[in-house]
Amino acid sequence: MKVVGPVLFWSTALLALAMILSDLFFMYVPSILVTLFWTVFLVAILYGVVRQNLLSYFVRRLVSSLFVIAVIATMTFFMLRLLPGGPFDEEKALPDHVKANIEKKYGLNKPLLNQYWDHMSGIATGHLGYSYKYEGREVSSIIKDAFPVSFKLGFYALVLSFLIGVPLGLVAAAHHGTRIDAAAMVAAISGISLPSFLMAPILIYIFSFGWPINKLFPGFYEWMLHYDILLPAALWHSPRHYILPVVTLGVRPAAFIARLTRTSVLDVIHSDFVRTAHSKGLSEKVVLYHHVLRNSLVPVLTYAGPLVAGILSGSFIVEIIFAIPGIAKYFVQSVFNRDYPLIMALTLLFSVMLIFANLVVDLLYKVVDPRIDVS
Amino acid sequence: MKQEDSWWLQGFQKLKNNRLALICLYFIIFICFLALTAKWISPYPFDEQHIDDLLKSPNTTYWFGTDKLGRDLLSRIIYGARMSMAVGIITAVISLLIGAVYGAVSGWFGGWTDSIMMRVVDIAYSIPSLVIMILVKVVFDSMDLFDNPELKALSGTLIALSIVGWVSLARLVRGQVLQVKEMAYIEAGRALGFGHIQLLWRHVLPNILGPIIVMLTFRIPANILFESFLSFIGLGLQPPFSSWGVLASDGADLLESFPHLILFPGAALFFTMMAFQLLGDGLRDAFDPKMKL
Repeated sequence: MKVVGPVLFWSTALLALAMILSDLFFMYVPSILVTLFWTVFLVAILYGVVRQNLLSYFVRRLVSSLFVIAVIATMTFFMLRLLPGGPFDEEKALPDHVKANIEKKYGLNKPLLNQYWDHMSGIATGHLGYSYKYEGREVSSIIKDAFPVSFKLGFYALVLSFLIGVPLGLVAAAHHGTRIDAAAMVAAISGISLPSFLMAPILIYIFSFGWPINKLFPGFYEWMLHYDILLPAALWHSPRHYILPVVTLGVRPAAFIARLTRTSVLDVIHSDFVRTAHSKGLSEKVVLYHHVLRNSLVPVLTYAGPLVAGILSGSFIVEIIFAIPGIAKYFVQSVFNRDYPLIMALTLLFSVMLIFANLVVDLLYKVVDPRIDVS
Repeated sequence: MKQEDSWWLQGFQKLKNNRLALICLYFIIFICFLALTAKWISPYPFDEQHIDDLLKSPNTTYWFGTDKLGRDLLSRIIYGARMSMAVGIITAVISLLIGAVYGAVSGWFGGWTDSIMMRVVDIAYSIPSLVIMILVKVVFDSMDLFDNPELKALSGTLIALSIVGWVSLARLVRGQVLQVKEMAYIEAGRALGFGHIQLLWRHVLPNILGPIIVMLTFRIPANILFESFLSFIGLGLQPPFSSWGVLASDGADLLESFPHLILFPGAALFFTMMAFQLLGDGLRDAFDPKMKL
């Protein structure tokens, strides 16, 4: 029985790695790999839940999540109707009978409560309806096209932020009170204070246009162009296009994680079991990696839930700046267009992701540290 | 009361010895001073156009240069401070008031009240904040709530940010109240027959003020940043008013030819955010070292 847990964990990790590599090298992730990954991931979670006797907690959380989603859908529905202006108010007013026909087509002439009922039952059965503005397109097909791009961007940013943040915080804490610590924390504070809409143009001008070196040495741009080392400033065609947006999106969370890791490591370093480990004569490295890091990652993990939320909203700006064909542009645009079905679907999509991320983080939390009482 | 004073004094002493935090505090006070006296100290009115001086680089007449409509950038940054700081501070205070009262009631009364109120918080927490902000802002911008033109330009942003901001504060305050509630001095107060309001106001509040102040300091830069996000996606202030976010996102378009347009507002934003962050760190070290933020 003891083998199952690690096998599930490592196969999830390996499948994730395979997906990343396949995306980076072939620009394509076979759908069977995606299905396999999510299956193994869910099985792993369920296994952990059963193993830790969290089944009733898990079921309760799922039920309450459904309730929360229903409330959010209701609130969004009525808030949208509160917005001034309707979906078919054009600058040049449509003739009344044309407008009436259009509204009839989308069921907007029915009483509000009927519309509400249609909407909710549609969501419950998985029919999200047709977009008002992107004519003839189903909302689900819009999401299917745009969402994977946003997901990829967010996912890579998340990975990057942990890859930078945790080591940075660890190094800072290990050199507590020295210049290394100060430098790492100045970097982290700068990262937090630099908004992405400042960061993005600066990165673009440096890495896509060779500015300001190009100003000092004319010809530098051509040189970089010749050796093909400039990064593309927009769009999303190849892994090279990923670099700037992912860095822009990942820096702020990385800085937060670095600060959090540092405080958490400093907390753990002063605890009794670390002193014991030292007095056993274990080397500094072993203590740091085996005893301290593992225990100090728990608070960092709890941050991962809200982090997903932060990355979701941060990706709006990044997608707009880098002209990435993700979901962000639909979001802002659909609110202006009063495209009710699309706004509703996107809001629910974001909420579901947020709830799911928080649930997974809470469960992981429990698995990493069984002493914690999550319920 | 004596004991309490000494705790506060200790905190202030620690803060006084933290030179970095003090510098940040003075910097913030300076920015606030600029914001409040903008009318008198800014060299030009913020919306005055100098048609002959479009897109001038920094010079002796226009210290920070001019923008594409020939408006003096320094004046616009000073007036921008007014808007950015107003958004940051007002929304932080409003969301603090809502969050603190909500969290305190929830934590203090416990039981059913608590579970229902926390369920509401859970729901609010699961809605992506940007979604709510966009919807609320569009709704409230269409209403005329204020006569003052500056407040009118801000109203949607203020309400949207406050509605989003109170949730995390409510959680924090509830957690703190739950801890303090079990203390012996609260029990003693109850035995003396104090009412709920008196206990909460006189005995609970002073003991949870530290974390609240720290949280408030971290909220302000977050709100300033959110406002500039909104400005960036075209949902911010209405022209001709400007905040630092508006200025920076305008300047981003012309970065290569006219770097001063993004450099100065960007620097103002960056250093103010940094100052709040460092001041928050200092306050945390002084008043609540165990807090994890």
